[in-house]
Amino acid sequence: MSQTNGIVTRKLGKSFPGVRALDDFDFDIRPGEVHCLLGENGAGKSTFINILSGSFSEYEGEIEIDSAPVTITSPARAKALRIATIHQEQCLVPAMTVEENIHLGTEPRRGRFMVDHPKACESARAVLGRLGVAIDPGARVRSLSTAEAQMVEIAKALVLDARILILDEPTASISEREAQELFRIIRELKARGTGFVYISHRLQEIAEIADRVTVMRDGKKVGELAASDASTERIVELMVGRSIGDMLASPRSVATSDIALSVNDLSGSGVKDASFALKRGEILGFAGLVGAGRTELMKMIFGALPRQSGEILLDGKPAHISSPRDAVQFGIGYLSEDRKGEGLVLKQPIDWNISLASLPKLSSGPVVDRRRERAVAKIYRERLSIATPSLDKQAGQLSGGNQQKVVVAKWLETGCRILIFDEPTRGIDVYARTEIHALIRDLAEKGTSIIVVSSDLPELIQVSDRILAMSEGRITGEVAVARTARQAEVMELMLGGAHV
Amino acid sequence: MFRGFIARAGIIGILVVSVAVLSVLSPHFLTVNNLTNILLQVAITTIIGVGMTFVILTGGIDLSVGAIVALAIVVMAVVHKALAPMEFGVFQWPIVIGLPMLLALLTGTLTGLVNGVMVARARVPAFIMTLGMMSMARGGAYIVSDNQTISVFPDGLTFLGDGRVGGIPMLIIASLVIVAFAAWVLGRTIFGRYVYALGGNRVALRLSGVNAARVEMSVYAISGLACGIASIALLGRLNVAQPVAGFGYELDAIAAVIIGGTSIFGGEGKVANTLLGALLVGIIRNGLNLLNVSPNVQLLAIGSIIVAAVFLDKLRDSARA
Repeated sequence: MSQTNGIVTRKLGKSFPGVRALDDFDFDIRPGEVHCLLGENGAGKSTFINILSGSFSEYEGEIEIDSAPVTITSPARAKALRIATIHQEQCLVPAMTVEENIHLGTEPRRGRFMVDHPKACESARAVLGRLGVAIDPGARVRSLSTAEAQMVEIAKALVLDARILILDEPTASISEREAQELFRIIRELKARGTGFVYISHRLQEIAEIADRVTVMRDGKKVGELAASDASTERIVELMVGRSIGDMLASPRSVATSDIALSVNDLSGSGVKDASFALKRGEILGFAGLVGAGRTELMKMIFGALPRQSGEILLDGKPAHISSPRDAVQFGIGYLSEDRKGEGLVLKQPIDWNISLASLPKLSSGPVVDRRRERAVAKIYRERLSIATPSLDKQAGQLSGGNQQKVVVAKWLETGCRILIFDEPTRGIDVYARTEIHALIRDLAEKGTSIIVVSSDLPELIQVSDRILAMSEGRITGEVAVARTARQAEVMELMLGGAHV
Repeated sequence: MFRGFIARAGIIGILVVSVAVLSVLSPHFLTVNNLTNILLQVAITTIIGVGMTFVILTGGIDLSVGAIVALAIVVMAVVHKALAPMEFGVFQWPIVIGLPMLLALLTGTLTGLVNGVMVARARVPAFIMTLGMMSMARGGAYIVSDNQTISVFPDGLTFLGDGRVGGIPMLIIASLVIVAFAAWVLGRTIFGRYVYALGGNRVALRLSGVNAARVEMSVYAISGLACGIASIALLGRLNVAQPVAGFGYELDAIAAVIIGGTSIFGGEGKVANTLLGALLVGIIRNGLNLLNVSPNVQLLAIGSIIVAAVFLDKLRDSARA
């Protein structure tokens, strides 16, 4: 037995043009422990896990496994060293079955070229059984939920007999209950000696799952703590290098009782008879599990999804919304949960993205008035503190938080009175998250009516005035006055346990 | 834009090298006659390439351009020949010359619009729709012309392709004006923005409250219109209209756009670079002709160049990432 089991990295470094992404990074993962890696976006976490998973052919520093030096220069090499990575974006083939995905690249063979199907199915069933999940090995991955697909990825790692599993924000898009299921599996694998690198933005998960915590900032390690010493305050302080206490919410009251938006008996794909009212200047939260129909409901209100029945009233008058174009004209804005896929044109500059929804207003005749466009963008950069050296920078090069601010700016410029935020802080680091929350409250204060859809309960409780819960397409209940809402109470409604 | 700059610097470099090499290899290359000839040939590719740039910027493709040119050219010729013997008094010129030209433009635009409607509304993939249209329009051209070659046209009809203004061929002037106008539309107007946004992120454009389908339909109509203009030019240049006209033009037009650095995936590129791309294709073609390289080998060369251009583009992208 050697003295240091597991993986140790020494003085790991990686540079990209203009950026020192990782610098002198020392890290170790012992068998049977969960080592949490925390840091804002751009802190270097991704660079680190990309090195461990063999995404780069070159890096600086040394890696040792069980005291023997190794180099990890390709994904195949990482696989041979039994390091498995479960990326935030899924790496499964949707059209193939669970079993085929689990064995992709490691198919049990009969002879040189044939796949041994019975053996493959049996092994897939066995490994899924070990995980204690009820997924049919013959099902197409396309038909699985996010959480199920994640289990399939873990099963794939088990087939590789991985000694190190890297999980990049595994709970970002699964529900609380599914997260608990994931934690159970992590604990079991831990007991069998698997080491974990666990990346998450959700600090409350640390107490639950981590043994050790390493915090990164600007490509460097800024602290390593035992999980028991890792209080939220301490971690946040390390992550952002400053205190965020003064940015936390204080309760506020909605002065008006004017109804800005009311939705009556809206039904359509995934939504059944949804009715609710949104007051002017109110922040209305929507809680629910992934797939509860919240995004679908919002997209119907915004005209991006067809609805079968029901009506939408704006300021008490029926509004005929059948396309996003109509919705925008009625003064509704929608920030998609998929910022990059549905919100921004990533290869175009910041000012360009900000003006996209308001070009007719910023133009004389058919010609875009670039000076005005520029001036408008400058105002928003100031007002929303979008951190960028230049407005010419491509939107895709900004951090998640700044990208979200650009999308907010786009909608504010349309002059919308109702703003729908779908998962406003997904994939956004802690500090930017508090900024976005402050921004949402500020907008409401100034009279914008706001809907916030989030799978992150503490976020909803912190930001909303009132929370509606959805389950299986229906609105199942309401929790009044945000600051007194108890997490358990909302949770119960989300699970569909209590009906109003 | 940085990308545009690199693409332009790269092409200009290759252009200079090609001209230098060909000047040495062939004594006929650097002659006024030959260079004018290249520019005239390139002008038609450029005009079609401008329309193609709009389409490719949205992430689409238009394989039917050559066939649309053929359809438009025979419509124009047949209508002209039918009207020419008749007497219209003071309206003689507008009806006998003007109307056929207008019909060429309309034929191109409407055929393009059919592509656009099917792609944007019926969601038929652009590749399949325009591949089908390539056959339909070509078939239409054979039917309209009854398989006949129509020749000899009056000066008015051939002016765009054959005329000169102050000694400079009209076609060269026209193609430059078209490029400049397209650059203005793409660079300065709201519509231009939407074209880039459609290619960059279709959903984001739609969710920004813009009628993305209409933008998409328009670019195919623009491509068709460009084919209509090109057909008038071609008729003038050759003084002949035949249903096999424009055969293989899609290859040169797509090559011009891609070599000009416009991303085949949409969202990025400059129409001015399409002009440079067309020049490069034209010069290479001409050079191979002068060097007595067979047309078969030329096809091989142009095809390889397209693939190489996209491959280099990919390399550049991954080097940046």
